[in-house]
Amino acid sequence: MPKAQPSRRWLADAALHNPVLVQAAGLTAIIVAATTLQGALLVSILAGLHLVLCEVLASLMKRVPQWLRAAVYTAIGLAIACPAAFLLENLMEYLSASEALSALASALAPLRVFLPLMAVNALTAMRCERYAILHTPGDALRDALANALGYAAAALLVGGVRELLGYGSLGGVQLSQTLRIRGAWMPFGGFLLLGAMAALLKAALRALSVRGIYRGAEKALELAPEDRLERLEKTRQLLIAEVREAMETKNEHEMKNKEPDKESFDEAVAEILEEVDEAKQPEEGIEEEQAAPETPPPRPRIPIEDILLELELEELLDEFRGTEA
Amino acid sequence: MPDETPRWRQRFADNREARDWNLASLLMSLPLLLVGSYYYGANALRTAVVAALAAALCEWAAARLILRKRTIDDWNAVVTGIWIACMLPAEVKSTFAAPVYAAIGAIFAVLVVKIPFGGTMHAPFTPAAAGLAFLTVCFPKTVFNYLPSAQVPPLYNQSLARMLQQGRSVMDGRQLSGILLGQTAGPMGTGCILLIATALLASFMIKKRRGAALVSLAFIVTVAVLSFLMPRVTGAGAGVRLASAGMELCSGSLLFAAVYLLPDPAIMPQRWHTRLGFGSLAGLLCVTMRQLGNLQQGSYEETVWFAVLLADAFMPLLYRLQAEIRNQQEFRERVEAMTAEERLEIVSKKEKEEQQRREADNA
Amino acid sequence: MKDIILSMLTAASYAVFLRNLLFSGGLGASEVLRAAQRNSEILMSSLLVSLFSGAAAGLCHWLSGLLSVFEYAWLAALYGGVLLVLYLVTCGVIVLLPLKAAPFRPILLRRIGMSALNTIVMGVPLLAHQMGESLPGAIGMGLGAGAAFLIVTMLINSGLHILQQNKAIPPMFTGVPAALIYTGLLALAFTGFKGEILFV
Repeated sequence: MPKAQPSRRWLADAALHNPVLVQAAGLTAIIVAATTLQGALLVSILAGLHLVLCEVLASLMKRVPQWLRAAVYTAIGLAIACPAAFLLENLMEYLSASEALSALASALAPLRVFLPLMAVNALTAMRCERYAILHTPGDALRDALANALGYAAAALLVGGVRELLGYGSLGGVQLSQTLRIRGAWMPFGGFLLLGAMAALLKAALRALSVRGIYRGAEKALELAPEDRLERLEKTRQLLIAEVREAMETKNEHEMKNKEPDKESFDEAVAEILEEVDEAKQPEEGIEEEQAAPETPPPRPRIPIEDILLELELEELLDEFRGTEA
Repeated sequence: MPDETPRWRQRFADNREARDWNLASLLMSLPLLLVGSYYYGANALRTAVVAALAAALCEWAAARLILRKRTIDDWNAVVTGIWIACMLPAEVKSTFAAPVYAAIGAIFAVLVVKIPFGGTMHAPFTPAAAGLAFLTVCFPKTVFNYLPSAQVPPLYNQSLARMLQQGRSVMDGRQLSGILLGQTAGPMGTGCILLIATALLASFMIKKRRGAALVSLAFIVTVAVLSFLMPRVTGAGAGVRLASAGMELCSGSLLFAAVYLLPDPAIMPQRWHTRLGFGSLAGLLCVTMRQLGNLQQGSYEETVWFAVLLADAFMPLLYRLQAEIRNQQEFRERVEAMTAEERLEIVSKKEKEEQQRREADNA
Repeated sequence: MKDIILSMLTAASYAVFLRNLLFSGGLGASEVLRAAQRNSEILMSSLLVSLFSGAAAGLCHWLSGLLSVFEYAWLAALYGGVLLVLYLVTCGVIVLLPLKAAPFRPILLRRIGMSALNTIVMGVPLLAHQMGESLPGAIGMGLGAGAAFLIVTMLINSGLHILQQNKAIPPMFTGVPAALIYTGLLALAFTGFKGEILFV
C-alpha cells in the first residue's frame, strides 16, 4: 500500500484508530469530565500534552524495564495534571466572582476533583507500550499527535452532545430552556453516547472501505481485537472437541481388541496444535503491515508452553515440564 | 454454547410462535389499560397508543435501516410501548404531556436495547424495564408525580410506595378491596392487583406460560418473605410485618413487573430450578434497592425495573459459570483418562517438530 | 474493634453499590473493559486493585493527618506520589524474587502496572478525603473498590461472551460499540441504588 501524505495519514489514523471509539482507551476522562464542551476541551488539552510528552520519552526509553516506564508516565502525568488542577482552582474563584463567567465556572466545576486523576490515563500507557517503544521519536510524536487529535475529536463531540441534551446549552450559550435530560451528563449516558458514536464511526469506515476510499479500513476492521479473541476461543473449543473425538476413536479401537491407532490420534492433536499456532496473530498486525508491506510477516513460532498456558491445559503442562527436567 | 443460554429459536419454532406469545401478552395487558382508562379517562388510552405507535414506528425504521430485515411482525414493539405507558402516570404536570414521556421511553427501549443487539430475540435486557429505568433517572419528578383520578378519587393522597418510604401503614381490612382494585395513587395501569393476580393464575393454566409464571411466583414469594422479615413500616408485631409485606407487593409496579416484565422469553432461563433462582434473585435485588433507598435522601420510590435489569445482567454470568464448570469437568475427565505415556508422546512429538522446523530454518 | 469493622464494611458496601466507582463515577472504565476481555486476569486484577486501593487510601489518610496540605491539587500530588512509591516498592520486591519464581515475574509486573496505576486506585484516596472518611472507612472504601471491580468486570465479561455468540448484532455495532452500550445499560441498572453521582 503506498504511503499516504503525513497530514492525510494523521487524519486517517485519528479516525480509523480513534483511541476512544475504536481502541476504547482513555474513556474515564470522557465519561466523567466531558459533560460540557469546555470540560471536553480542557480534558483534550491535558490528555494530548500527556500523550505527546510520554510517547516521545518512551521512544527514548527502550532499554528501561516496562514497570519503571509505567511509573515515569504517571510521574509526568502528575506533573501536568496537578498544576493544572491548581490553576483551575484559582481560575474558578475568579470565574465565580464574575457574573458573565459564572456559567463557565459551573461547567468546569466537575473537573475540580477529577483533574488530578488524568495523571493515570490508560490511553497514554497503551500507546507508549504498544507503539512508542518500538519506533523512533519522530514516529512516536506523529502517533501521539494523531491520537491526541482523535481523542479531542471524540471528547468534543461527546461533550457537545451531552451539554446540549443535559443542560440545553452549547459552549455555555443557552440554546433551549426546556431540554434537560439528566441522564446525558451521568456516566451511563456517557457510555451509551460513546457506543452510539463508535457505531456511527464504524458504519462510516465500512462505507468508505466499500467505496475503496480507504483500503486500510478493511484490514483494520478485520484484525480488531474482539475478532482475534473470538477466533482464539473458537480454536480452544475446537481443540476440546477434537481431543474428545480422538479419545472416543481410541476407545472404540480398544474395545474391539485392536491396537489403539496412536498415529491417527497423535496426528489429530498435532493438527489441532498447528491451528492454534495460526490463530495467534501478532498483537499489532496493522503496524507490522504498514512497516513491511512487501514481505509477508514471518509465521510466529510459539513455544509449546505458551500454547498450553493459553489453553489452560495445566496437566499437560506439568507433564511437559517433567520431560524437560 | 451452553445449553442454558436461552434463545428464542430454542423456545419458538418460528416467528409465528413469537408473535403468538406477544399477542397473548398484549391480551393480558388490555384489561389493565381498560381499568386505567376507567380511572383516568382518555388520557390513559392516548398515552398507551402514542407509546405503542412510537415504538412500532421506531422499530420499523431502525430495523429497515440497520438490521435490514422486518422485525415488527412479532408485535413486541407494541407490547413494549403499552407496558411502558402502563407504568407511567396517566397525567403529568410537567414540560411535556404524559404521552411524550411514554414515547421517549419507548424509543429508548427500541433504539438502545433492541436494535444494537439484533432485535427482540437477542436483547440482553428487558426493553420495557430499560425504558422505564431511563425515564426514572432522567425525569424522576415526572415519573412519580401521580395526579389523582377525577373519576374515582384515590383512597390516600400518596402512593403506597411513598408511604412505605415514610414508614406509614395503611393496610386496613376495610380498604383492602379498594387497594386490590387499584384505587390508590400510582401508575395508570399497574394498580389493579386483582387483574394482575388473575393474569398470573391464567399463566399457570396455559402450558406454554407455566415457566414464566414460575419466575413471577419466585419473585413474589421472595419479596413477600424478605419484606416480612425486614418491614419498612414502623412498629412491631406480626401484624405490622404482614401489613408491610402486603403494601410492598401492592405498591408501585412491583406486581406488574413480576408478571409481565421479568419473564422475558429472550432472557429467562429454561430449567425450572434456574427459573426459580432467577425470580428469587430479582426479588432479592428489588428488596435490597428499596431498603437501601430508605437510607438515602431523595431515592426513587419504585426501583423494580432496575432490579429486573440487574437480574438480566446476572444471567449471562450464571450461564458462563455453569458452562465453565461443565467444560472443565468434561475436559479434565478426558485428560485424566489418558495415560501418562500418551500425554508425553503428544508433547514430545510437537517439540520435535518445532526443533526440526528451527533446524530447517537455520540451515 | 467492632466499630472499625463496621465502618470498613459500610464504606466497602457504599463503594460497591451506592457509590460504585465505575458506574457512579466512571472511574476505571478502560481498565475494566480491558480486564473483562481476558478471563484469566479478572480475579488477579481485582485482588491487586483491592490491595493497592486499600493500602494507598490508608497511607494517604495517615499522611494527610501528619502534613497540613490545604490545596486540593497538591494533596492530589502527594497522594499520587504515595501511590507511585507503593507501586515501585512492590515492583522492587517482585524483581528481587528468588529464581524459582522468576517465570512469573513478567506476568506479575505487567498485571501490577495495569492494576495499580489506574483511575480507580488513585481515585479512592481522593474521594475518601473529599467525603471525610475515617481511616477504617478509607481502607474499607479501597477494599470495596476491588470488590466492585470484580463484580463489574465479571458482569461485563459474561456480557461480552454473550455478545460474541450473538451473530445477529448488526456489523456497525459489533465489538466496541455493543460493549459500550452493554456497559451503559449495566450502569443504568446500578443507578437504581440511587447513590450519589461522583464528580458532579
